[in-house]
Amino acid sequence: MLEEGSVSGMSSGASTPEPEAPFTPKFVVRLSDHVTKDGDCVKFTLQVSQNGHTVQVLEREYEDFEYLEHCVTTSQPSHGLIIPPMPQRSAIDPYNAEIQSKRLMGKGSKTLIPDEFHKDCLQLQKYLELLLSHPVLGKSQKLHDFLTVKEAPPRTKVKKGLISRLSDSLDARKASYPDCEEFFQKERDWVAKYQPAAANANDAFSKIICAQLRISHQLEQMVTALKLSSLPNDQVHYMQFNNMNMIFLDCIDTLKSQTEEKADKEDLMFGAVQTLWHRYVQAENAMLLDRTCLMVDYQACNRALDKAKPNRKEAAERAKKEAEQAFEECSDAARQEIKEFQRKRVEELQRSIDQYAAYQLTCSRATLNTLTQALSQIKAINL
Amino acid sequence: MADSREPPPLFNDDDDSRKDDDNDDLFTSAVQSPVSELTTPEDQTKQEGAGDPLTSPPPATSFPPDPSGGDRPDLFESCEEPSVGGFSSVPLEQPAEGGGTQQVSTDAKDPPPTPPTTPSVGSLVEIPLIVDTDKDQDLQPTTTSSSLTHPDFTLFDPLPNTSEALISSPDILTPPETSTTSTPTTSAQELSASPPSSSALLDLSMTLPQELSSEPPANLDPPLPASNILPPMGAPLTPPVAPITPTATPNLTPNVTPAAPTPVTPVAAARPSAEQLESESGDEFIEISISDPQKIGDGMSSYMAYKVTTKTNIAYFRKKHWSVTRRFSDFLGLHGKLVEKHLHSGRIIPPAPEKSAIGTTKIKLGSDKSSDSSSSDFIERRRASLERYMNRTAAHPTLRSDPDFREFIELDAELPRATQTSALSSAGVLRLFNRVGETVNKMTFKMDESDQWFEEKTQQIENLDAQLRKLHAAMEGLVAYRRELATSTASFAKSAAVLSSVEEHSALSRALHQLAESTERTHTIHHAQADADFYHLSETTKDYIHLIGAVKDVFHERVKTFQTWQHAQTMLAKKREAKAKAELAGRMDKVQQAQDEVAEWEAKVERSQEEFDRISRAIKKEMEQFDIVRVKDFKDMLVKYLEALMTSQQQIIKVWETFLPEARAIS
Repeated sequence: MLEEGSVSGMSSGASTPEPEAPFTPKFVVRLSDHVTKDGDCVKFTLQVSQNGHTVQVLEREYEDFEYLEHCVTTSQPSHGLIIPPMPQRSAIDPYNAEIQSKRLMGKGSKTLIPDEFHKDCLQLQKYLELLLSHPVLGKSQKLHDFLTVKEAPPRTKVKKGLISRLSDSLDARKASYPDCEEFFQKERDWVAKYQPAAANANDAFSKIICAQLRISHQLEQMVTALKLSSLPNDQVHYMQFNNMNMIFLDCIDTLKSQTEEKADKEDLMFGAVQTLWHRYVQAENAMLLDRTCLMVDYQACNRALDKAKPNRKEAAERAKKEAEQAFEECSDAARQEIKEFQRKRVEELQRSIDQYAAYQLTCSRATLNTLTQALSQIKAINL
Repeated sequence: MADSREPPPLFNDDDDSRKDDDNDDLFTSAVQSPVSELTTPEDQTKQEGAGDPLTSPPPATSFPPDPSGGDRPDLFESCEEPSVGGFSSVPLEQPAEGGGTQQVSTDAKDPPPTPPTTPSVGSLVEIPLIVDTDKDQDLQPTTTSSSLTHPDFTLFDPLPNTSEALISSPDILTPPETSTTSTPTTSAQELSASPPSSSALLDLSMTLPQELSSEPPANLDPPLPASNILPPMGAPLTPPVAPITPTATPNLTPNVTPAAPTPVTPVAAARPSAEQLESESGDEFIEISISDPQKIGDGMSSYMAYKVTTKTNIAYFRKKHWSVTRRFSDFLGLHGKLVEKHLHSGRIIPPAPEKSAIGTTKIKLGSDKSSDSSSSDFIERRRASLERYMNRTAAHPTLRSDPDFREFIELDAELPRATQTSALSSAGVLRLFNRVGETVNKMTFKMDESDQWFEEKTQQIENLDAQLRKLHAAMEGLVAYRRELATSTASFAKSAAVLSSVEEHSALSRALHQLAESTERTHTIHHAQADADFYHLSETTKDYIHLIGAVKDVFHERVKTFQTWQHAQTMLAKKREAKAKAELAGRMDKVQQAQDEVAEWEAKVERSQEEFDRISRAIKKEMEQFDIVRVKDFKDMLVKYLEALMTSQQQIIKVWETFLPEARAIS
C-alpha cells in the first residue's frame, strides 16, 4: 500500500491551488487488525496520529464511514473534485457470506470463506488516506471530527431517493454533449474507453484469484484424502508407502497454503489496486459528467440571454454569470484534479504491476523450493 | 486357442487331494462298512483330518525334492512352445519312462498356487493316445482291486448320470455307453452343478479316484474282469477333458492309476517355473506403447485403431521389438478373455479402459477428428489409458505369458472381432444381468470370515476404495480448477492487452503490454500443468480405483468358492442323515445308494475346500505383489507429478524474470 507521506508529498506538488504552501494531511490513520464483530455490527479500530504521535484510538463501524462520505461530499461544493471512492461493504452476515463464497469457490462448494477483515481494514485505511491527502476534502471539518472525536457522530441512514436517481439518469443523457474544451473532451473519451477495459481486466483478474482459491481448496481436500490413506506400518513397503505419502502430503499442504497466500496477496497488491483505480475513474467520470452538466447549463443560459426580452435581460445576465462562474470554477478545479489524479493513477498502477511480477517470482521460487525438497526426499526412498 | 480356457492349477491341486484320499478313504471305508451307525462321525473326523493335510502339504517324506531344479525354465518352455504351433513331444515321451509312484506324489504334495502358464494346442491330439496306452499297459497289473469295484457304480445310478452327461458334454457320447456311465457319473452331476467347464473337469478328476478307492472293500459282489472295464473307462474320460485343457490329461492318468504317473512331470516342473517367473521378473522387461490412433471407416461403423508396439527381452517372444494394429474392442476382448481364464484362480486382472458411448459416438460422427479439440482430447486420453492398461497386464508374469495376451500383442493380423464388448449387444445386457445378480449376491451373502488376513485385507481394500474415490474427486476438482485458472489467465492476458492499448500514459501502457504477454505465457504453462495433473495424478488414481474393483472381484470369487464349499457341506450332512435313516429303516439297497452319495459329497466338500484354500493362497500372493506394485506406482506417480510441477514453476520463474527488468526499464 501507499506510503502516506509520499502520496501527500506528491499531491502537494501540483494540485494545491496555493503551491507555496504544500498540502500535508493533518492526520495519519492506521486501521489495526483488531476488529470486533458483534452480529452484523463490525467495529474497526482506528489509530490516529499526528506528527508521529498517537492522538486518538477509536472504533468506527462501516456505517460511520458511509455517513462520513455523505457528509464530506455534501457539506461543501464538490464541483470539479474527484471524490475518492468508498470501498464496498464486504459480506458480514452468513447469508451474504454464503453468496460471496459460492461466487468465489464455485456453486458446489460448501466452504464459507471466513471474514477477511484485514482486506476491509486496508481498503478503509486507503480510503481515509485518499481523503486526507485530498487538498480540498482533506481540510473538511467533518473528516477531522470523525478522526478525533471519541464517539462516532450520530448518523442517519443515507439513502438515494427516487428523485436523485431520476435526475442522475437525466444527467447521464448529457454525457454525449460535445465539450467546449479539447482537454476535457479527450479526458471524457478516454474515460469512456478505459472504463469497460478496466472492468474486464478486473473481472478476469478476480477470476484468476478465484481459480487459485479453488485450487487451494482442492489441494486441501487432497491433503485430507491423503491423510486417510496411510497403511498399517507392519510391512516394509507399507512403511515406504506411508513415508512417501507423508512427504507428498506435506508438500501438497505447503502448496495449498502457498497458493492461498499467493491468491490473497495478489488480490491485495494488484486486484485491489486495479479495483480502486477503476472505481476512482468512475468517480472521475462522475465529476466530468457534473462538469458537463454545468457546461450545458452555462450554454443554456447563454442562449437564454441572447433570446431574452429586455425586461428579462438582467435576470438572464445574472443567471449566465452564475452559471459561467460555476462552470469556470469547476473547470479550473477539475483540470488540477485530473492532472493530479492521472499522475497518481499511473504511478500506483505501475507500482502494483511491478510488485505483482516480483511477487510472482518469489512465489514461484518458494514453490519450486518446496517441490525440490519433496522430490529429493521421495527419490531418496528406495523401494 | 479355445482349449486354453482351463486354468491348470485346479488340476495340480486336485492331485494332492486324490493321492491323500486314496489312502484315507481306503481305510475309512473299510472301517465304515460293517457298522453303519459309526460311519458318520468317523467319516467326519476323517474328512476334517483330510482337509488339513491338504492345505498344509503332508510331511517331508512325501515331499519330494524338486525333480528338476535347474531345468525348470526349459521344461516350462517346452510346455509352452506347442501353443505356438508344434506338437509337444515332452509329455509323450515322459510316460514311457514310467517314473513310478514317487513322481506322482511329488505332484500331489506340491501345493501349487500358480498354474502352468499355458496349455498347448498340440498336445490335444495326443492325449487320448497316452491315456489309452497307459490304461492298457499299466492299469491292469497294478490296480486290479480298484478297478474291480468300479462296475459297481454303474449299477447304482446309471440313468440320471448318462442323461446329465449327455446334456453337459456331448463329447462323451461317442465312447461306449457302459463306460460313460461308469466313470463320469459324478462328474456329470458336477457339471450341472457348476456351470464352467473347468470345474467339471476338476470334478472329474477328483471324484473318480476317490470313489474308486473308497468302494472296494465295501462291495465285493460284482466281479468283472478289469481288462474289460478299464480301457473304456479311460477313453470316455479323456475326450471331455482334452478339448478343455491338454495339460489336464497327463495329470488325470496318474489319478486313475498310480502306475502311470509320468506325464505329470512336465507339469510339475512347469508349475514352479511359472512361480519363478512371477517372483523374479526383475531382469525381464516388457514395454508396450500405444500410438497412432486412427479412425478407420466412416459413420457409426467406423472404429479407432491403435498401433501396439512392444519392446521386450523376454525369451518366449519371438522378437525384441515389433508392432501390431488393434482396435479398441480388441482390448476389451482381451480383458474379457483374461478375466474368464484367470479370475477364478485368484488373479487380479487389470481392468481395461471403459467404453464410452458418448465419446466414441462423437468421434464416429465427427467428420474430421482433428477439428474438434474435445474429441482429440478424448482419443489421447483413451490412448494413454490403453497404454497403461497394457503395461499393467504385461507386468503380471502370468498374464503376459497367457496365449491370448501373446497373440494379442504378437499376431500380425486382425484378431477375430470381439462381439461381446459392445455395451448395447445382447452379451452386454447379459453382462448387466450377471452383474446385478452378483451385486445382490454380494449384498445378501455375508461370509463369516475365518481367515484373519482376509478379514483385515477386505476391510483395508474397502477403506482404500473410499479413500481413492475421495482423492480422485479432489484431483478431478484440481484439474478442473487448474484449467479454469488457465482460461482465466488467458482472458486476463487479453483484457490486459486491451487495457494497454487504451492506456494513454506510454510507460504504463508498455508495462501493461508486457504484463499481457507474460500472463499469456503463464497461461500455456498453467494449461500444461492441468494436463500433468490430469495424466499423472487423476488418471493414475482412477486406474487404481478400477484396480481395486478388480481386487474386489477376486475377493468375491473367493467368497463364491466358499459358498460352494458351504453348500457342499450342508449337502453332505443331509446325505448322511438320509443314509442313517435308510440304515435305521433297514433298507439295504437304499443304504448303498446313500453311501455313494455321501462319498460323493464328501469328495465335493473336500474338493471345494481345496479350491477355497487354493484361491485364498493365490489371492494372498497376488495381493502381496499388488501392494508392492502399488507402492512402486505411487512413487512413480509422485516423482513424475512433482517433476511436472517443478517444470511449470521453473517456466513461470523464467517468464517473470524476463518481465521484471523490462518493466523496470520502462518505469
